[in-house]
Amino acid sequence: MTTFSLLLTTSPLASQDFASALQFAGAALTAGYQVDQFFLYQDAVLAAAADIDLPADEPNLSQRLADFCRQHQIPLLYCVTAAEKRGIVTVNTGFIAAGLAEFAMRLTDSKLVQF
Amino acid sequence: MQHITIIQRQSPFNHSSGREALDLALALAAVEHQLTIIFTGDAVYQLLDYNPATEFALKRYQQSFKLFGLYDIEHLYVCQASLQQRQLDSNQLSLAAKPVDALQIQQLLASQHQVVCI
Amino acid sequence: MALSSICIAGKQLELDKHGYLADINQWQPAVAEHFAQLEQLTLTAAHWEVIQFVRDFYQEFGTSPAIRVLVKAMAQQLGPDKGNSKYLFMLFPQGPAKQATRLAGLPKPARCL
Repeated sequence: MTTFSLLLTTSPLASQDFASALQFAGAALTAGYQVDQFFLYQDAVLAAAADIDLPADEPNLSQRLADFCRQHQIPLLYCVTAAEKRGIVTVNTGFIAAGLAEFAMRLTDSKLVQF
Repeated sequence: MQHITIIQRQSPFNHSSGREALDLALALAAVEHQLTIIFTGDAVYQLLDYNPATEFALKRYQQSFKLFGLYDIEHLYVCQASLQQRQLDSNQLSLAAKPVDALQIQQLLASQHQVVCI
Repeated sequence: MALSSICIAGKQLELDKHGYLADINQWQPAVAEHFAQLEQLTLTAAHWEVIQFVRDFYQEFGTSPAIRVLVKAMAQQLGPDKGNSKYLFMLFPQGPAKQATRLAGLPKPARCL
């Protein structure tokens, strides 16, 4: 059975990439595939910030991703070096600090899809 | 072990993406994945020699390309068309990247397990 | 808890927030000795060899070596007796890349590599 690794590299506020990734992951699970990991790199690590404060009428894609991963028990990893460079130290529940090395090792058995 | 290609697309002069793509390449190579790197579009500027004395406000990471040898990253390519569009010649490059045309890039990508585009 | 500066030969040298030298150009052997004392290391010729090695590495590649690449580079240049993590951990028990780069006055290596 195919398993997927999903790589996000863009800011959750600046594009719909997080929404696309969520849609893809939802469809994959429904079709009986597995999602091994979400990995946040580059500006995507902004999603891990604990103090995201959005008006109620704007979609909070970071929270949606965290909820999705909790519900389906999918590891939600972010690159800790990329996060530190962006001043993200206190992170939201559900986001796991990891390194690129960990992403690389988890990649071994899965298909990578980048958003 | 997987065959992974990283496509570099950004100029080193206005973006840090090239640096982050480099870090990713090194991390993947460190756990024995077989890496290929293709420089295309403005990323061909990453391959130019630069005057180290020039003041510049982004970290110059190109010196770290020398790490490729240490990480056994040997498959380095540069898009021939991107060079031509910028009136550059492959012998001006500081890194021994092999010029490839669109068809060769297509064949390269088709032979890979994963492709990451930065 | 991190110090903000150290005093070497009568001069205050600034540190970054991880306790590493803020300006690599201010390095001198006394800096290594000062950090070694703080980290309760007694420097031997073997330590100095690694310190010099990571300084040369930085000169050559423009980046502080993380542990994996440090092991590999040392194995290539100095042979497998020295290019292995057991040897390096014996010299720098708190983490060879972390400690050797600090003593050598380099920036802290990336955590994620």
